[in-house]
Amino acid sequence: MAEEIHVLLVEDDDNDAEMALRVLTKAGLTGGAVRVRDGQEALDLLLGGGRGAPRTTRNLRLIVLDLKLPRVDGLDLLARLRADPRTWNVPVVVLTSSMLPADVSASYRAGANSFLVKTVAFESQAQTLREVASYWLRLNVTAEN
Amino acid sequence: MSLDVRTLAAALALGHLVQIVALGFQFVVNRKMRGFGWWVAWPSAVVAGMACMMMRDVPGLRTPAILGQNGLIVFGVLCLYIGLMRFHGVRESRVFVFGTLGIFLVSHGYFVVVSDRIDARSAILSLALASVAGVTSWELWKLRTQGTAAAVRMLALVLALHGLYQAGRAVRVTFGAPTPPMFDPSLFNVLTYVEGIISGGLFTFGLIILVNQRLQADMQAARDDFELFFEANPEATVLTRLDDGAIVRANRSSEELYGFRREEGLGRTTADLGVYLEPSQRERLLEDLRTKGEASDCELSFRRRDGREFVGSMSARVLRLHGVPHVIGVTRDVSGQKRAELALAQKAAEIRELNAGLERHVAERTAELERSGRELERSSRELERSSRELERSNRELERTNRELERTNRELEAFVYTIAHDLRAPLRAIDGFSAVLLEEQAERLGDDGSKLLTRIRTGAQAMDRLIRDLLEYARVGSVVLRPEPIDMAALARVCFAEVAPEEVRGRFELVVRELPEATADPTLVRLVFRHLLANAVRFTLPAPRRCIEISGSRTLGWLTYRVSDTGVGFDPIHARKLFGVFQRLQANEASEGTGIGLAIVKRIVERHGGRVRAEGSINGGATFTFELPEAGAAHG
Repeated sequence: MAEEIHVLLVEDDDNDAEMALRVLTKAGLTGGAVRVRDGQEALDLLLGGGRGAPRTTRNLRLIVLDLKLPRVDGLDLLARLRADPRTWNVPVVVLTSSMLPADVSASYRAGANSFLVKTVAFESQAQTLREVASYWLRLNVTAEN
Repeated sequence: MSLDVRTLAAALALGHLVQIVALGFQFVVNRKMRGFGWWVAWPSAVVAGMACMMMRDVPGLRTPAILGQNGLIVFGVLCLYIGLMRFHGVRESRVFVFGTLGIFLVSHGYFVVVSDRIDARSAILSLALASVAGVTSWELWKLRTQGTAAAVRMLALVLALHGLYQAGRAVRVTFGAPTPPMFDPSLFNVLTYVEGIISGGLFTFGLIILVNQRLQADMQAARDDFELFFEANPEATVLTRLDDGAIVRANRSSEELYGFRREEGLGRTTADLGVYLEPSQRERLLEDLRTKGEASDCELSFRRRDGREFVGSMSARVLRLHGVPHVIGVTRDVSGQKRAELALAQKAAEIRELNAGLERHVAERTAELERSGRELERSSRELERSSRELERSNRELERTNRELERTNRELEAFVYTIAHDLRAPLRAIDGFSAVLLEEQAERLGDDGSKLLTRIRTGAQAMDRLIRDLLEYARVGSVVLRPEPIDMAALARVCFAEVAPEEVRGRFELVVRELPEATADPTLVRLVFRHLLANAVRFTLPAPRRCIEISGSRTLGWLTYRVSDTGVGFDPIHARKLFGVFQRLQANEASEGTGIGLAIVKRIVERHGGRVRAEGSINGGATFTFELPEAGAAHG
């Protein structure tokens, strides 16, 4: 995996992941988007369990995070990323099917930059993803590490 | 006439013996009087002196005889002095007595033993007698009282004369005149004895008169005292003879009590005067006096001279006056006391009566109070029981509530989980259908595309249903956070949210002045959203599209109305509208899930309010919800 990762999708549902990647690829982010199935995979990829950040995530510009995940939960992952000096500044957008106000506030408290609810209607979901990616990859200025 | 001196001396002695007898008799009769013994001692000493004188001629006894004779005479007059002083209750001067006696004895003894000179002896004796007589006379004069003045004057005079004679004799002896021998019957000697006899006799008479005067004075004083006591006695005191009842004496108080002057009453009987109102009472009193000799505190009715009647308390006693039985009676007017007693008794009776009434009243009131108390107690017991039951019910209710809350929370969590899990496949169905429609449209053909579109519509409807159910569940369990809400502004915002942009312009929205409400804004927002969404949905097909929001404030209720000119509904179903899954029009295009109004009802009812729907087929609909005004409590 020598390619550079710009967007990391943390999603356990294969269908949701498939559709999200399709949308992002269509939006011109081919090769830049990578999907992992849960928090542990994300941690392995991003922090590698060793010293120094892997080269592949050096230019990571956005993490799209589902909350309900096996092994390491979305909120736990978020907290650990924010606590790590290598990933503390990576923008995280929560994309979940939960509409619980408690989940919303917990996410922001853990350091989420945005909170989006998954919808069933494909068009609106696709539009949301495109706009989010466009915003965070093209407009947003991220803090230097 | 020639007199033998010895005879004279004997006569003197005899005279003094008579005096002894007279004074001794007085002494025996009047033992109570003081000084009498000394009086008797005086003539006794003189007699003894005379006896000594007779013994002059006895060989060897001359000197003691001379000393005894003269010493006893001087001693005698000193005894008289002492007796008179003591008779008057005065202490004699001992200096005078012993001084006189001492000086006399020494000087006289000198002229007997050392230098036997009769002239000197005579002078000394006369001088001593003169001085004692003078002093006694002077002292006596000073002690005279009104009762004894006559006797004292006489005695003082006799003493003074005796003293003067003796003084003269002393002067004569001292200055030249030769003193004749003791028994020489010269005038000098004879006079001395004669004077002694006369003055001694006179003196004894004087003493007896003095005693009598004294006795008389004492008696008078006693009488005067009695008179004073009798007269000054504040109680009416009357002395009557027992036999005939004649009044002998009456005091001033009795004059005042009976109204008679003493002169009128004396000698007459009390019966004559008519002071006894009931003579029988007097008879009983007299009977008591005759048998027992006294009567005390007898109450009798009297009549005064002026006719006024009174009750007297009489105490009487029989006493013998001059051998005649008399009655001394003391009467006190007790009318006032009687009246007071009567009044007191009357008052006491009144008080007893009052007390009895009061007691009766108290007893009645007590019984009433007791009855009330018992009722109160019973009520209180019932109340307590009810209160305990209520408490138990409350506890049960609380427990049920807690259980319900827990169940609700569990249900909510369950619902969320279900929703989450249900929506994922829906997203897949819809999403991949969309991908197919987009990427494989040609292969699918029109029919295939239509079918896929219907699949998508179904999936999206199911998603809405899930979201609404979720919302319905949430509004039932969420904690209310009320705050003041500008209802009109909120209604406008909600309309903008629920009316799709492309059709919004076709509606006429009228928002009237709405009363401010205090409620949970998130939930009230849902109310407006659902009501307005419904209004938009059912008005869109109608020819006139007007939605009006109005409100009012009445009797503690805030009323809000959302009226439209839409297709309306059959009033028969008005109540069904608020049930879950109730939808009157099976119109898929209307996009309703049938839960919206149920959510509205649930929110309003959680705020203590109520909802209702009015409408008619094609006549529009009006949905009304009422909220209790802040502070107003509504069951």
